[in-house]
Amino acid sequence: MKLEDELKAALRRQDPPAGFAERVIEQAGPARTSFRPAPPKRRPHFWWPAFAAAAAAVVFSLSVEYRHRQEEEAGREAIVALRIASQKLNQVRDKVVNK
Amino acid sequence: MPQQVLDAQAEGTAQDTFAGLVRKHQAMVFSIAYAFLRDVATAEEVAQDVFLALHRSLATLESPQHVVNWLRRVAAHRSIDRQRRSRPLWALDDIGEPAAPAPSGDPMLAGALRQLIGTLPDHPRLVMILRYQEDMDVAEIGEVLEMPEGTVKAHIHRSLKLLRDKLSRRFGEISI
Repeated sequence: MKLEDELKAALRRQDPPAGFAERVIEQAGPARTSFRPAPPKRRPHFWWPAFAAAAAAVVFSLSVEYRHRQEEEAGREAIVALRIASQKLNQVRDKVVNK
Repeated sequence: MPQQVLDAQAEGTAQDTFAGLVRKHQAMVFSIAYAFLRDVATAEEVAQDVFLALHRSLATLESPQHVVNWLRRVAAHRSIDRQRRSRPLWALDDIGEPAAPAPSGDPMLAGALRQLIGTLPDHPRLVMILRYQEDMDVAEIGEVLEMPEGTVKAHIHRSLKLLRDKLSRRFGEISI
């Protein structure tokens, strides 16, 4: 006989002393409740891809808007720079003419 | 139907559930404690303690299989706790030598095996009890004792080798 079989035979379950269950039940008193009902299974998260797509769309439109405003700002700054340069050139021309 | 009657029926059902669980699993819980502690009175106390804890926790358990795993885990841990409070139970030198080599399947061999298992350290002893008494696999034992599967396998391997060596020394050339 193999050692593992001998171990199973040696470690066979044994009943507790007589009246054990009754003593435990009496000592425990009334039970408050039975098994807790299993929690409802979670539904698969279908909203997650939709949420990701919406978030990507918002980020994309914000970045387009930002770039558009940057271009407008750059255009305004260029016009101001040209006006300043023009004024300076006019001043220089007036000085040369007046001499 | 009046609410009080419904409550009483529900309470009765719960009590019946608990009583049924005690009757169904008393041998399992007692045997884990007894195989570990090797003392009937102490094992009975531990088993009673385990079932009273079940009574308090019944509302948190979800299924009969959950109850079985819970009982095994609590019985194992409470047996260790009890052992640590009242050491030592067995010393290797206390184990009597059999007068003559025992044939395979002999009750003397089974008794010697139980005593030798009692000399194993706490965790290897519990692993062997759960493996060969409860017929649990490595993964289940690891889950109950909260230890990696590799550790469970190592405990089984080392314990089997130790038992085989000691039995060979005691019983001579025996085919095990």
